[in-house]
Amino acid sequence: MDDDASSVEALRYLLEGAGHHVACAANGREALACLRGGQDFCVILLDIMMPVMNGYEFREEQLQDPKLAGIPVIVITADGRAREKARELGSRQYLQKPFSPPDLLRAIRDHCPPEDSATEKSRLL
Amino acid sequence: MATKDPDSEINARRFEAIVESSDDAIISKTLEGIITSWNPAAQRLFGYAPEEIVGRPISVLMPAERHDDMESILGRIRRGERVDHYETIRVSKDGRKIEVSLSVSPVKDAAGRIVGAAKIARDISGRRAAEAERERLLREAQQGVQIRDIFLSVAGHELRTPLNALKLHLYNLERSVSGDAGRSSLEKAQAEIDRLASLTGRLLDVARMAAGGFTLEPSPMDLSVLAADVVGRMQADAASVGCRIELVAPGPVRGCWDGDGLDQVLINLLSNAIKFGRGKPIEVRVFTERGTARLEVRDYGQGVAPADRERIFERFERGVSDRSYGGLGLGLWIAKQIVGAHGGRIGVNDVSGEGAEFFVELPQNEGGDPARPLGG
Repeated sequence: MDDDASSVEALRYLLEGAGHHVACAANGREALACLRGGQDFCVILLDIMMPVMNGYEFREEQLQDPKLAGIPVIVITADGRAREKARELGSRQYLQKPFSPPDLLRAIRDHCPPEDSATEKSRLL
Repeated sequence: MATKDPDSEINARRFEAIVESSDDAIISKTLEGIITSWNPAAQRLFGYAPEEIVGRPISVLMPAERHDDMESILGRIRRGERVDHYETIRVSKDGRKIEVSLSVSPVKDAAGRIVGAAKIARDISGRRAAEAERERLLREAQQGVQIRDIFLSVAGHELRTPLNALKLHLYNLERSVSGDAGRSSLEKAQAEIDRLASLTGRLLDVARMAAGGFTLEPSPMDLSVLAADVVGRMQADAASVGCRIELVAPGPVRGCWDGDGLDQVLINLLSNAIKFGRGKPIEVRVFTERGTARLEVRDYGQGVAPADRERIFERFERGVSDRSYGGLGLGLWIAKQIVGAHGGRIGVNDVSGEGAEFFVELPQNEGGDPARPLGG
């Protein structure tokens, strides 16, 4: 999830091109609605600074929901303290914008093995 | 008939001379506040000649809003207390308000009874004006620094977002373009984005370090391994200006340090060596000396003049003309903040021959204090 429409568009193209199924959200509120929509997700790409519901507020709600709490999160942020921010959000993985696309694909592969795409699991942005 | 003690007469004359020649106004008054003596400095300060003012109440010198001063000061004098360096306002003969510092002491008669007061008044208008000016300049400077740091932080954050989108779009485009010319062009565009991202990151680092908002995360590591990794990554940059980086790391140099921070330190030192090294070989040496880890980067370029060896580690300072070389003048400052946070030292060695040799010393046992912020 990311409030920057251009980044979201480019990410969707990149990830779908790599064989992943992608759902996009512009903020935490939209992401929660999407996550509770019945599909399974294997990873969440989380921006922090977003309107309506930011990354911290999203994470709080995610962790309180037993059905969502276990979905791993990769923090993606333009903040210079990406490492600290990721730690605050309880995530071990982070990418600082601008990141290298192959790095992102590798990070996603840790959570979503290739066979996952065959079972049509989704990844949320 | 009593005769005068010659010593006390000399003392009285000496005292009179001091009063007459003093740069401070010296005034005496009765316990009722009636002026009884007035020296030349008092005349210069307040504008009244002695014959105009002696016999008049001291309140003549007080602005209306300070009339309470008289009773308060005289009350303390009657109790035998001194008033020291009391800063207040007085009025001169021509109505000008003057900022003064007053010291008032009780005057006693031969029997020890308090019969009046002696007051020394010093004009502090000039000092006050200088203080106010200094405070104004300091405030302006602090505001300037604050505005700059906020700007750097916001600009850094806001620039990274479109850079990220641009990088992703270019990557996608690169994969869909056929033909070497197109791909080569896109690769160059990617490299330019990386360069912009690096400059943006550096600006943001400075803002963060200046605000004290960056902390070390030390963990056990080997400086030789880190150096090999960085040198490997920087070889392509070095090759682009026709030089090669040689690493001399005879063995492991272990300690508890912030790996990302030291990675940045070495990158900054090597970037300078590549930039100013005139295409000649660069050496990176990692070793231990008397319980201290030491990292040295030696180039054979234009070198650093002895007079510049401290200055180049300051923010926005550069060792070369900005007409000849680009750059923000931040790399060494950032390196110094990171090394300093580890309790280490960074500097320039005095080497014979051409070129420069930068060194970094790091304590090997303790590493940095994880809670200690950089800069600030």
